[in-house]
Amino acid sequence: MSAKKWFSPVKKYPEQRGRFIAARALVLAGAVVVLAAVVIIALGREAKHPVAVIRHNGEIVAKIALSDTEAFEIPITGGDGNLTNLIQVRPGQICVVWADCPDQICVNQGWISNGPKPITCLPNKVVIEIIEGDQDLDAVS
Amino acid sequence: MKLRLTPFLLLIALLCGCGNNQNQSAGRTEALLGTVITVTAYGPNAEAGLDAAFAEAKRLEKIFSYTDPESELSQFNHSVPDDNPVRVSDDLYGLTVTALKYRDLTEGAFDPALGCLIELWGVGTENARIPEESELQELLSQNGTIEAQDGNILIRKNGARLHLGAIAKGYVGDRMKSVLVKSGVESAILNLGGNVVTIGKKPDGSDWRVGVTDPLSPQKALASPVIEVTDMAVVTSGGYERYFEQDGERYHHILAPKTGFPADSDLLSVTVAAGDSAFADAMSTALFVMGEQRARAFVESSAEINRAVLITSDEQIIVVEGMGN
Repeated sequence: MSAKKWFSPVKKYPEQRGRFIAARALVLAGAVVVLAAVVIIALGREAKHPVAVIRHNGEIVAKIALSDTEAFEIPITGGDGNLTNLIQVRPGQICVVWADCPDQICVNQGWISNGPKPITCLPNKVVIEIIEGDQDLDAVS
Repeated sequence: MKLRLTPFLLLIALLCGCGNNQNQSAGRTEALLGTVITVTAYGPNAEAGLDAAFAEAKRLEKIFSYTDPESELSQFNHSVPDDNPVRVSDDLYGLTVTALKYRDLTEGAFDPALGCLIELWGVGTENARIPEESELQELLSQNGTIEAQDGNILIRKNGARLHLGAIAKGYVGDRMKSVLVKSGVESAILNLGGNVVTIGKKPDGSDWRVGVTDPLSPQKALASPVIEVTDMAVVTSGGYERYFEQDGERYHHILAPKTGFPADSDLLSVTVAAGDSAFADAMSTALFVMGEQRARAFVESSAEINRAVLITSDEQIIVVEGMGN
């Protein structure tokens, strides 16, 4: 497949050679900018840190930056010291993985990663909300 | 003109490579001291550092817990008779002496001898109630206090009970940090129920970014300010953290030592950034009790406070610079 069979605007219109070379350079520069932008945005996405606020009996018991660490668990216990809810955290997400409540609404809600619908366990008075924020925070005091 | 693809591909590969977390990290969360403690540590010593730090937190919980009847603090509070010198551990003695120093520094706005008053109100428990005026007057008139003497001696005067709730989390944060640093950890962030402690900078060399809870919508962080710190603690106290409601009125947990009532402050919350976490913890409580005017003056003349964020009841956000670095 010879390169000469390809349409070459420079060869066909030699007097406009300069314009075609400039056009190619512009397209190439544009492609590099777009590519760089895509890479930068992709990297920026990794840095977002939503913060989960866990309340028990109306009291804030934890504020967790859902960053990319290993998964871990948070036990919530009732007045008698027995486990009532087991909360699981994994990169960017949080859920109630086990609860002793009769309706299991909190467990059925599954993983959440953003604010619109907090996880609520009414019988055990546990609420998990995600703090919205465009800024990437490492923690919330 | 010839297009060389190879250098571009290499550039893209390089950029993607920078996004990957080259630093090892380890995270752990445990429920301790009536709150949840989360630590994320970086570097090859992270895992070992976490083991040591949480072991230290558990050891300190057995000393400082107010609700555990077996803790050293509880045993001290229930020792009989009153007004009796009791020999205590270095940790309990040291933190009590520090707390008494902060009581003097804040002219009583922070006070570690409020155990009986706190129990009377019961905020955050099932027994939360508004005490009778007579009960409060009787308690306040007793002038209970805690005295420290040489040789690790503490004495409860006039029926006082030691309560270190407004400083213990901060102290545990400092101790966990110290243990992590000894283990060789140079970058980490600890969060003890909103009491944030940082070690060094983030792995990428930037400052840690700590948000401030919006006291009017505690499920949100304020868009501004974001407190950027290296190797510092950031602690917030606010009425919204723990309260009960009765007849349409809200009664929060930060009691004013002079009145015996929840502090009638013109502030909704106070956030303090300082090198020492126990100090930041105690000061955030004291500044809340002081109110805006006194708090401002205190921060501006403080050599230890880096800066404080005061949120007033008419929703103004005031950032006050201290003299600490």
